[in-house]
Amino acid sequence: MSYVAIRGGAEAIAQSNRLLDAVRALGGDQASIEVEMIERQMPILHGRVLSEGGLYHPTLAALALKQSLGDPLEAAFMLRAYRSTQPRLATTPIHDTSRMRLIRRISAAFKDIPGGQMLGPTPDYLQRLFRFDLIEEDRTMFTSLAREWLGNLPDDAVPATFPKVIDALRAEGLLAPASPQDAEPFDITRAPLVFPVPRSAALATMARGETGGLLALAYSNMRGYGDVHPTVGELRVGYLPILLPHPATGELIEAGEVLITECEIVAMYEDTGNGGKPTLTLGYGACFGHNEVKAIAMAILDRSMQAGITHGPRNPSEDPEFVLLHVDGIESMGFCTHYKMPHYITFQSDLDRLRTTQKKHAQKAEEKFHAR
Amino acid sequence: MTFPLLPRSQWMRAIAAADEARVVALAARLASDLQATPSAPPRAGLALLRLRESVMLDTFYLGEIPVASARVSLLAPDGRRVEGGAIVLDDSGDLAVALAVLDGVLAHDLPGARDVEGLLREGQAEIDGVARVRGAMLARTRVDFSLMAEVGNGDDA
Repeated sequence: MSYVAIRGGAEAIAQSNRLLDAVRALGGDQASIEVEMIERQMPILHGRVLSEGGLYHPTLAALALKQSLGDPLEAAFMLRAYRSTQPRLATTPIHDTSRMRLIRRISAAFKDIPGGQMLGPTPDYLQRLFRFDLIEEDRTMFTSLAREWLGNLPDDAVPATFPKVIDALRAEGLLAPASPQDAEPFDITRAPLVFPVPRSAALATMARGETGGLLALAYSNMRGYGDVHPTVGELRVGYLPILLPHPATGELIEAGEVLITECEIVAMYEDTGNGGKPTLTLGYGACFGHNEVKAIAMAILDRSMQAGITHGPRNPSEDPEFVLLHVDGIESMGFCTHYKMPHYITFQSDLDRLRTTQKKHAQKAEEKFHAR
Repeated sequence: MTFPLLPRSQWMRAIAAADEARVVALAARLASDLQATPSAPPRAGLALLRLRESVMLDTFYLGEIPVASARVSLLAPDGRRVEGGAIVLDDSGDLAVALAVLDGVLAHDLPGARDVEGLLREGQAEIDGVARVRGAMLARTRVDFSLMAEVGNGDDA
């Protein structure tokens, strides 16, 4: 494919850029939405941008949403563009999510799990009926929401960290034994995906993949183009403390925390293939922010791709190349929207070929007519 | 309560949770009093977050996080030069320098250490408050999905 540079339109483009900014303010005298409002009042959308941008920078993610008029793909694109301008200072030590400070923890596999299940903030049991009173929600009503919820906080201490459900399954011998692998993970920000890729590349690609893309492919497996048949062993949302070495002493210190969603799915059991007893198979998903659909879909795709690697891909969701090359929102959005840009030369070429073909077709038809 | 009230590994988190304007103002004053000089240029950029997933125990990169770090040298009253350092999830080298000054003052019990400890307490109180809210999120939404056969027609107890 070749591209031809175009000229002209600079003034129109500049005006269009100004208009895009002005659209936020046209048609009313409202106050500008504050970046902190986006972060606090739209945490799900905000979290999606954090994870798809691949950079945990809450303030910039909120700014990107404001600047992009609420478009999560464009907002994630801005985060990616920003990150590409920043120096890489470090790689963190290996972090273990058992240290997460949880705000939500559920299991669909067991009703009784060590430490118990806590729903936390979730729309799972809502009836999706409109609350029209929110249209008229004023500052007083809004601030009273938090004040009322914070009143009479329970004194009973709840631990912030909990054991993992699958650790219990592993202890019971229902899972294949696993030992920690400390090989240097694949860095998708520095190297292209050349297949086959290690699992670390697949997990990193999906961790910043587009939620809808991951969901669509995982859904194909759920509906029948695959046989993962998942059960959510554990889904947890919480804050992971980030440990980094102190610049003066080298001691690991807590430098901050990041909100993440994590899911482990339990799938069908399989023979281990080496004469051992059959064990359950598993899939793993995790991402920045609170995004349960993404974490579950990622875990299903992790499992389906593992099956594809073991048995050969039998459907699209088991093919790592198919999955990993189609779930990145920035790449797919970029390819899709580039079709809007001027393609005058290539399209004129198509028209030229069509006209020539039509002409030949007409000539042949005429020759056939005269040959009768 | 003993001085300081937290292990050094928790100081950054606590001080960073205090009011940033007061953190920066106190650090500026102490940096001037103690003739702070950078031991190394402050740095701001990104770090890859390396995670161990829990099903096959592989490691992978979940994404990137902003990181700022600084090391400063401070002049103690006895004439020694001592060091402070800071690393924080932020993209401001200036903030990292401020935190490094406070870290050095507290670590070596330099003049102003009690003021830093005050910020530490303030930040820790903030963190405790957040932890209490998170704990309430869990406590108030604890659920027992008892089977219908076990509890009859009643709702949860």
